[in-house]
Amino acid sequence: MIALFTVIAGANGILLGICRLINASLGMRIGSMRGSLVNHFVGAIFAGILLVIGMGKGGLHITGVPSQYFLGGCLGVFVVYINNYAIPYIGATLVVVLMITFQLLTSLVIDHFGLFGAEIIELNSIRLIGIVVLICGAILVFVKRES
Amino acid sequence: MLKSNKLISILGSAIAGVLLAIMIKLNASLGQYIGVLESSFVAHVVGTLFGFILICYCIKGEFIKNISESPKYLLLGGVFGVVVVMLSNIVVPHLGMALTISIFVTTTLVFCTVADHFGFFKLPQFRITLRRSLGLLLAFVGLLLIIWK
Repeated sequence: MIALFTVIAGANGILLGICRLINASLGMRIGSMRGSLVNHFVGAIFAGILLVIGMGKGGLHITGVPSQYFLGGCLGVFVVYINNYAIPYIGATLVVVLMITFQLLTSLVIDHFGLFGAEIIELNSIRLIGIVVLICGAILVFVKRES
Repeated sequence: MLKSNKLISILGSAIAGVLLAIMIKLNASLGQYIGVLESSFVAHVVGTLFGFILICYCIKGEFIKNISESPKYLLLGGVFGVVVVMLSNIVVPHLGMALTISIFVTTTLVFCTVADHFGFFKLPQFRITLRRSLGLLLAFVGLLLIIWK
C-alpha cells in the first residue's frame, strides 16, 4: 500500500508541473491575469461538479467560519498570475525553485510565531542549515553564464 | 545584465512563494471548518470573482476569441489544480507530511526541468546545465533538512 501512495504522491507532483506549465502557455496566448481567471473559473466548475456528484461532505456550511479564511482564493489569483508571467521568461524550474524556497521560509516564520492559528514550532539549527543549503541551491539554479 | 522582465519574474516568483505559503495555510484552515473539496471549491469561486473584479474593466470581445483560438487542453489547468489538492489529501495520512512533500517536490522539479529543456506545451526552452542540476540537488538537500525532524 505504501508503494501505491508513493506513486500517487509522485504522480501528483507531475500533475502540479503540468498545471503550472499549461497555465503559463495559456497565459502567453490570452494574458497572464486572464489565464489566472480562466484557471480559477474552470477549477470552480470542476470542484463544483465533484461536490454535486457527492464527493464532498454533503452540503456547504460556510457560516461561522472566520472571514479571513476565505481570502486564500484571492492570493491564489496572484500566485497563478505571477506563475503565468514568469515561466516564459525564466523557465518553470527556476520559478518552482524560487517559490519553494520562499514558501518554506514563510512557513518557517508562520510556524515559529504561530501565525494564522498555527501551532508554534520553533526554528532549530538543522532547519536553519536547511534554509542556507536551500538558498545556495536556488542561487546555483538562478545564476548562469550569459550565453 | 538581467533584462527587467526577467528581474520582475525572479522577484515575482519569490513573492508568489510567500503568498503561496499563506494561501495554503488559509485554505487548510478553511478546510478544517467545511471540508477539503469544499475549501478548494470556495477558494476557486472567490478567486474567480476576485480575478474578474481586477480585470473586468479591460475584458473585451477578443478575450473569448483568444481563448477559442488556444488549444483546448490549455484550459484544463484549473482541473489539475483541484485534483492536486485532493490527491495530497488522500496521500498525507498514509505517508506523512514530510515524505509526501519530498516525493511531490522531487517529481515536480524533475518534470519541470525536462519540460523546460524540451519546451513542453509550446513554451520557451531552457536547457539543462551541470550548474543547474547541482543547484537543484542542493536545494533538495536543504528541503529535506527543513522538513524532516
